[in-house]
Order: sequence, then structure tokens, then C-alpha cells
Amino acid sequence: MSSNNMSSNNMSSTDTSAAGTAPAAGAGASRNARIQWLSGLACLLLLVVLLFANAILARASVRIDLTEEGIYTLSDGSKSILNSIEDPARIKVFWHRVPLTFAHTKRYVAALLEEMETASNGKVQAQWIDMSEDAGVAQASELGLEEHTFRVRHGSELRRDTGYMSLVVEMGDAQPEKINALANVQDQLEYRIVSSIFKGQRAAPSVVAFIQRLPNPMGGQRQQSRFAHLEYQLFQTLGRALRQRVTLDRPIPADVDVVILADPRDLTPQQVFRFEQFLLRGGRAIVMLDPLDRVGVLSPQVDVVRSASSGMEDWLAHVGVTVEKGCVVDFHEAASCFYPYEIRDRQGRTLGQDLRRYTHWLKVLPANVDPTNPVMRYLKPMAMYWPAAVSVDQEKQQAEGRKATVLATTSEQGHRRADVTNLRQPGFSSDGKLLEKVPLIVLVEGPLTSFWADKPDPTAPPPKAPEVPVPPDDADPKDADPKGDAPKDGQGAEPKGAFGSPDGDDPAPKDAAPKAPKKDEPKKDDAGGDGGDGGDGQDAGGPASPDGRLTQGSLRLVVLGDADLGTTSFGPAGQLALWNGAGGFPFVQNMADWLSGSEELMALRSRATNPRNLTQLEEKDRDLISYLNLLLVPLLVLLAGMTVFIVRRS
Amino acid sequence: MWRDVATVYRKELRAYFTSPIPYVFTALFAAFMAWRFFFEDDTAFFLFDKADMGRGFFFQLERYLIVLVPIVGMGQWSAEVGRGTIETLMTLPVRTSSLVVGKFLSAWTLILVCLLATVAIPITVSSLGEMDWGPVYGGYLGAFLFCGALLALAVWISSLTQHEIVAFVLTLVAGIVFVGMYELADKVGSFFGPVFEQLSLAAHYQSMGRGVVDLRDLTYFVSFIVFFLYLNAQSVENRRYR
Repeated sequence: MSSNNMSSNNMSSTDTSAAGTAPAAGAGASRNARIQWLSGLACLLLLVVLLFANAILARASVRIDLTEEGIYTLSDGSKSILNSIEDPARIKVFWHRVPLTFAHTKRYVAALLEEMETASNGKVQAQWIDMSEDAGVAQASELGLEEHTFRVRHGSELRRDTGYMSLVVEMGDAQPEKINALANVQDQLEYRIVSSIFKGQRAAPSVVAFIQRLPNPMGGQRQQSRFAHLEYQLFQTLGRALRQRVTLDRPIPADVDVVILADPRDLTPQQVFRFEQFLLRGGRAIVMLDPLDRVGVLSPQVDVVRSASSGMEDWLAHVGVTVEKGCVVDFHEAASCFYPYEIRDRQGRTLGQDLRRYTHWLKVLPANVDPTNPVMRYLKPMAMYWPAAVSVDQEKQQAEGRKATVLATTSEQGHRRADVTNLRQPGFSSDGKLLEKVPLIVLVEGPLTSFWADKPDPTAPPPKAPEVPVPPDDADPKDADPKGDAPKDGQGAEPKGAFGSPDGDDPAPKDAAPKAPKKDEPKKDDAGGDGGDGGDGQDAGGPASPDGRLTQGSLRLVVLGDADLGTTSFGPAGQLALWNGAGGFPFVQNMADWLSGSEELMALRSRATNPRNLTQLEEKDRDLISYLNLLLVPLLVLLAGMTVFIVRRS
Repeated sequence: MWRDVATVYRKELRAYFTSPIPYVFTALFAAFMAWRFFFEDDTAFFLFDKADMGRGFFFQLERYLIVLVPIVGMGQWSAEVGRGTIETLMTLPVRTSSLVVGKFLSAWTLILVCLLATVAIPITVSSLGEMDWGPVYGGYLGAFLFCGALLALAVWISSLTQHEIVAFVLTLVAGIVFVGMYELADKVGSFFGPVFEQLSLAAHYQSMGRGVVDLRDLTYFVSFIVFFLYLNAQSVENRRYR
């Protein structure tokens, strides 16, 4: 502004002189040229000053995050964790040949890391690796980072370029945690980094085993599991602490702390026994049960839905929990989910897809969860698909000194539907139905006496047949067993159940060796190994029977009446999340974290954004809204203009 | 100085809103944006079934503002020259800087009215679902500053010519360059790439569209506006010596 004033002052003097005596034309031109030269110089100076100011302020990360959930700001949970870490951590960022259309991701990563450095009081240090030198690329390659493929437009051509968009979290001697394709995981980046640092602080993170019902092999080729996406998510967050090949055909390895049992079907007594032994030795579990066999339920050809057996019913009854037959519906408008309905023409050709409210897919609402449980407290909208009611025998729990907590229910407009035929039937109404809060998720904690405490060990080898007496000379030799050791019953000859090893020939657990005790957990002096089904850690649990199996222990078990919340069977994960809530996967992950004592991470994971579906409207209402928007405001503006015009004319 | 600015601002604004053109212009703009948002296939709101303006709306807005702003800015000085009123204007007892700022603010207000005419869209969206207003606030703030920057460029270019059409075309080209730099940044190498990105209006505008108001973006827009208004003042000033 000062140079502007200067120009104005000069101009005034010029005017004065012009009004007075006529100066020589040459002198005037010279003065004008000088003024214009000074004006140009002032512009240049201003440009330099502004560029300098921008360069200085570019270093200051001052910003206001206006989003409701503060998704571009480090959460309080992260700050708390980072503030409390003891060992330093280094985060190396490899950003190379990334198209500048990802500049926002880069800016977000940079801001996030800056905040992490501050929150950790310098314990976390971020380093952007110089990738202009070959050394940077070599380092990325050495660390095993994946090159990301980008599609870049070159003129009218779309080419594929590769580059690095990864980071590595290094903590002391621990294996570095690699996070590739940062743009794809931007929503989870804060959680991934902070959880890596958090887990790196612990000598040995809790181990989670994911045991799922695998699809039957067809034609020698294995189909992808419907839990593949959940498994991938678990692997993304747990990394090496996830055991994916654990089966119930063998004892659960001694280092496993938490088991997630997804959709068990027709488990044999031996498999249930091994699961119980795991619980009795101090293991914790999430059991996701699907009592309805609803393969193809969305298909027009399937109207009758069969019941399916998990094989755990008797054992669960022993624990005091019953997963009821049938399915639960919720008539509360906010609790019903969206169902992808195919629009077909008269010839049956698919014209498109529409979404309709469907009371058999229900949403667990915050008002219907137990807020004292941290997992439920942080729960985001979570869809359950044809869930079953999970009822608890409270008297039995009290009598046996256990505590059963209902973690989630339907709304007051829930209903137990016993008749499960024609589930796709539209217009299933609440008229004349008994409406109540129906329990959907239950937590049972406390002492447990083994279901097999007074029964023979189902996994024990069959008793040897009594020695066959030497037949008398006149006996028929065909009546005698020549070897004399053939099993007499099927108890010891365990068939491979649905929860058998993925390949059917799974080797002995590789992870059965005892591991180092954790900083925050008492040492478990596990026996482990294959030395018998009862030998998987008896010392950590209650008393063992003479044959080595545990008969008493402490239980911590979560039972859900739905396994589909961990699947993407009814549409891609993104779409499901968009329609019905992204809470299913985070719920399982959070529950696993909580059961393994890592509550701190829950608040971070639950920062995923809420689905923001529209209120469902009829086609004509949509059109009305669209046309109102198209016409109303312009008409109002024109009306205002006409009013002004008329007033002026009058 | 600010009293003079306010005088010029009021005079210009009165001139705008006593003419029917801004009303028609605003109505057309609001209708066009609503049509794009609710009816066009690539952005059709109901198709996505999400109570979210997304970045789509503000991305579209950016494209149309590149055209709208030059229309508002093209006549700021060139029309005065064309009508021969510039001499009268220069004899007014106010500083050139006050004239420049007053004219700029009044035109910016007109654009703000156009932007506000589209607010019915987010209000509709929020009435149909639980919308996060953060990105909407950020988007509108970004759009307002984006318009300010483009308008400062437009009024400067307008001061360089006496033909409104020339001013419009030049501003349109300059706007496309300043926005397109963001796209070009990928193709100009690792040294110029970040420079192009930093200079691009689109990068800063889109950053605010996420719902994050960053001091760096604010600094950029303010610097851009100040620089071109200064150039404008110098350009008008120099006219006295021709």
C-alpha cells in the first residue's frame, strides 16, 4: 500500500504541474516512464513479499477441520497413546512418481505425521525419504515395499505408471510395519500407524485366530470364503498376530489368545471339546452363529429357509446360552436396513437395482446397546442380516457364578419370527405381532465347569478291545478279529468336519511353541504342542482331570446370532457399508481387541465415517424435490428482480 | 480510504441490483446448478442415495465459476473505457485504490449472491439425510475465495483493454491456465510439478472442499487477490500518464 500511496502522491504532483506551466514534452515523458518503472518495481517487490509469506506459512500446519467427525485431525485416542509411548518410533515415507492428483493424500499424510510428532513429544519421528536418488528406491525395494500402479492420462491416452506411495513404521528391533497404497487406506491410516506403534510397545501382541466355515470344494477348486474380506481386514490390522490356518481338528495353539469362530456348522463333539479346552485355559472367543441356512435366500427360486446346526447347541445350553431358531426382525424405521432389489422387466431381464427397506436386515442402534461395554460404546451403525435371537438363562448364570450381559438388542419394535418361509416376502408387517426388545449379542463371563467334566473325553483314543481269548479248536476262525484292535465305535475315529483344515491335511500347529510372556499379562506356562488334546495349556486354566484335560476354568465368550455381519455376501463391502453401515467389521475387530486387552485402539478404529443414506422416497417425491430445486429459487430471484423493477418504475 | 471504498461499493452495488441482468443471471446460474446436481447422469444425486454433496458438486461448481466470474469481471474497467466514463471516474475525489477495491468488492458480492442461490441444494440434501455440513462449509468458503481470486484477475485484465469481449476471453484463458496447472503439474517434471501445484487455484480450492480450512490455502487466496488488485490499481493509475 505504501508504494501505491507513493504513486498517488506522484500522480497528484504530476496533475498539478500539468495544470500549471506546460513542461517540456520530453521531461514529462521521462517522468512518466520513471513512474511506470517504479510501479513495475513495486509490483515485483509485492510479488516477492507474497511468495515469501506463502513459503513461510507453508511450513505452519494451522488448519481447522470442519468435518463432523474430525476425520482430518488426530483423534484424542491417538494423542493419548502417542503421548504415553516409551520407545521411539520412526516413520519413513516413500513418495515417488505419484501423480499430483494425489496431492491431497500427501498433504493429509504430512499433516497427520506432523501431529503425531507433536503428540508423541518427539518420540515419533517422520522422515520423507529422498527418492530422487537411487538409494531411496533401493531402500524401498529392500524393505519389500510394493510399487503402486497409477493410471495417468497422457493427452488422450491413459497410461499405467508405477510409483511408491508407502510408509514404514520402525520400532527398535521389531519387524517394520509396512503400509502400502496410502491413498487406498487413507481412512484407516491413523489407526494403522498408531496401532503399529502401540503394538510395537508390547513385547508380544495378543494372537487372534480366525476360524471360519470354508465353502465346500467344488470340482476340486476351492471357492472364496464369504469371510475373506473380514479376514483381510483382520490381517490388515493385526498383521502377524493373526493366525489364519488354525482349525478345530487339532488343539488350538497355545499362543492363541482370542478365537473368532465364524459360522460354525455341524461341529463334531471333538471340535467343540477343543474349543472348550481353549476357553478353559483362559482363551477368549467370539462365536458368530447363523442358525438359518439361507443360501440363495435372495434368489426367487428359494422360498423355504432351512435351519442349520452349528453342533454347539448342547454346549451352549450348558453355558446357559441359546441361539434360537427362526429370525429376528425390527420394525423400527431407523433400525431397518436397505435391501438391493433388482428391477426386472416382464421378460425377467434386469433393468437396474433399487434399494428398499427390509426389516429382516436390521441395524443395531446406539440406543439399544450396553454403553458400559467399550466395544458397544464405540459401535458405529452395524447391520445384521436375518439375525437369530440369543437368549440367556440368567438363573443358571447366577447359580454358576457367571455374569451374562446382553450387549445389543433390537428396538422395542423387534419381533421373533419363527416362521422363516419366504423371507423375501414384501410387506411383512408388524400387525398383530408380539413386539419386544430381542437380544442379539451376549457376553458371558465367569467360571465354567467343562461340559465333559463327567463324561468321557471325546478326543481320547478308543479303549483297546479286550484281548480275544484263544478260540477253541472248533470255533469258526471268521468270528475272530485277527488283529484285535479295531475300533468298536466312532468316538475315536473323528471325521473331518466343516471346520477341518483349509486343505484337509493341515499339519500340526506351527505356533504351538510357548512364547515369551507379555509385558502386561501374567506368564502362561503353556504345555502346547500335540501331546494330546488336553495338553494345550492346562497350567493356565483350572484343575485338570487325571487324563490331562481341563475340567474347570474361566469363561469369556461373546455370542452373536449372526455371522453375515462379517461377510460381503450381499454386495460389495463398500456398497454394504454405504447402504447399511460399516460397523460389522470394526465390531469384530474391536471385540477381538477388547478381549485381548487392547481397548485403547477401539476409539481409533471406530472413526470410520457414518453411512449417510437418504430417506427413501417414492419416484414422484424425488421428481418433485428435483423440480422444486430447479425452479423455486430461480423463480424467487426473478420475482425479486421484478419487484425492484416495478418499484423503480412507479 | 475505507469510507471511499464503502461509497464506491454502495454505488456499484446499487447499479447492479437496479438492473434486471443480475437477477436473470443469478436465476439461470441457480437453475443450471440444480439441474446438474439433480438431473445429470454423472452427478445425479438420487442415484448415489447418499446424503452427501460429495466433491462432485464443488468440482462442477469450479468449472462453471471459471466462466461465470469473467462475465462479472469483464466490464469492470473496459466498459468504463468503452462508454467513456473512465475520465469522469478518475476525476472523483477518491484514490484509485479505493475505486479498485470498491468495484472489486461489489462484483464479489454479486458472485456471492449467485453462490448463495445454490444453497437450496445442500439444504435439500440435509433434509433428506444426515449430512456432514463441514465439507459444504469448506466447499462454499473455497468457492467464494476461488471466485475472489479469479475476479481479481478478471478486473485486472479488464483494466488493460477497452473491449469487454477481449477481457472475457483473456480472463477465461487465464482462469483455465490457473486451474489447469493442477492437471499439468503431473506432466512437467518433479521440479516444476510442485510449483504448478502450489500456483494452481484448483489445488487450494479442492483442498478446502474436503472440509479443511488450511492457513496455507487462505494465504494463497489472499495473496492472489492482493497481488492482482495491486496490479489493477497500478494499471488504472498508469492510464493517467498515457
